[in-house]
Amino acid sequence: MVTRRGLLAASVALLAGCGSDDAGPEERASERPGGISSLADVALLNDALALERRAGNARSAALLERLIRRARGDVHPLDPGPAPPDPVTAQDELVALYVDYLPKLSEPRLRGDVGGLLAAAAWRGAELRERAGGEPAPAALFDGARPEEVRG
Amino acid sequence: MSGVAPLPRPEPSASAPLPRREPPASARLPRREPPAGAPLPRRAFLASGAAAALLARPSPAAAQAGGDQDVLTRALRFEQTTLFAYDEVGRSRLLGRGAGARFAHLRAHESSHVAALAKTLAGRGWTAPPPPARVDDVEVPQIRAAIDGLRDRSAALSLLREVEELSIEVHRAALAALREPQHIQLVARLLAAESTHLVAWRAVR
Repeated sequence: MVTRRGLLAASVALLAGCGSDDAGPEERASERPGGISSLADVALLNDALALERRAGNARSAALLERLIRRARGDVHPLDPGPAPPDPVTAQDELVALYVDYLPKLSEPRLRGDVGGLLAAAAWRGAELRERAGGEPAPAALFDGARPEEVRG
Repeated sequence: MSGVAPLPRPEPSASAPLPRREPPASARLPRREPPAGAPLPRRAFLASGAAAALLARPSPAAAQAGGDQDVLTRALRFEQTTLFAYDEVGRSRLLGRGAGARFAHLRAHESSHVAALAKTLAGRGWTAPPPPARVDDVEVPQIRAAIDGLRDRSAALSLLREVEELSIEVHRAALAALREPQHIQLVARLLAAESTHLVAWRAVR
């Protein structure tokens, strides 16, 4: 099934021209605020903003709004869809989103900022797992997916 | 009017403070902020400075190549340093049995990080740097000093927390410097894992 998020990611990757595996190390498309790649970045940031708000991460959401405005974009988060079943899943979904979106962001400095949001989401999920008596660090290469046995 | 356009106000830096996490409903863990999610205290500032210093010093083999090769090589050097620090803690036997399972679990993660980065470099025909063989080979001064200062359990836990804090900064800086999507995604997964490691070590008393 094609999800709304999947469609958005695919269209953004197409727009940014950076979603293919054979993309080389050469410079990406224009990174000027207001340019095509910047518009694609703003779309991704608005998608992340919807999930941060749904997860109740007010400060992360506030930073995303700042980043969107810095990229000369408008804050227009889309409907993130149904709420996740629990707070840990909400954080893990954010980790998965950021791991997926980071390679699609064209502005290097933005990737550093969003990397901080990724670290914060992973941190919150780990804290919740630890409090629930589960394993806080479920995977060596963590992408938000959780094997059933590590759920708290 | 002088006719000279005023300089634009500086933008927030790439290491701009991130939002504080939401207050936990029932905090069993120490009330610390996500490492990359709070205004940096002095200690974290020094730590990120050291990480930046490490990143600014390219390895001889990668210095001329630049780009992703250089960034991944430096990320690998830091992961090798992290693994070396873990092994020093393991050899010291200072953690005790209580944290043994957690130590083995996270040490295995660090070993996987080294392997993943080395495999990525090898896949491109890029040479991996040698890991540190002794304490003097450790490039980050505060990690070297912390290894030298391994005297008790508290020092061992501090060292493990410190290498995890630093690795978050190193990988975050790498995200801004890398170009190839698959490299960015690898480092993003490393960064997420290191953040969970830091929570794990802060929870150990």
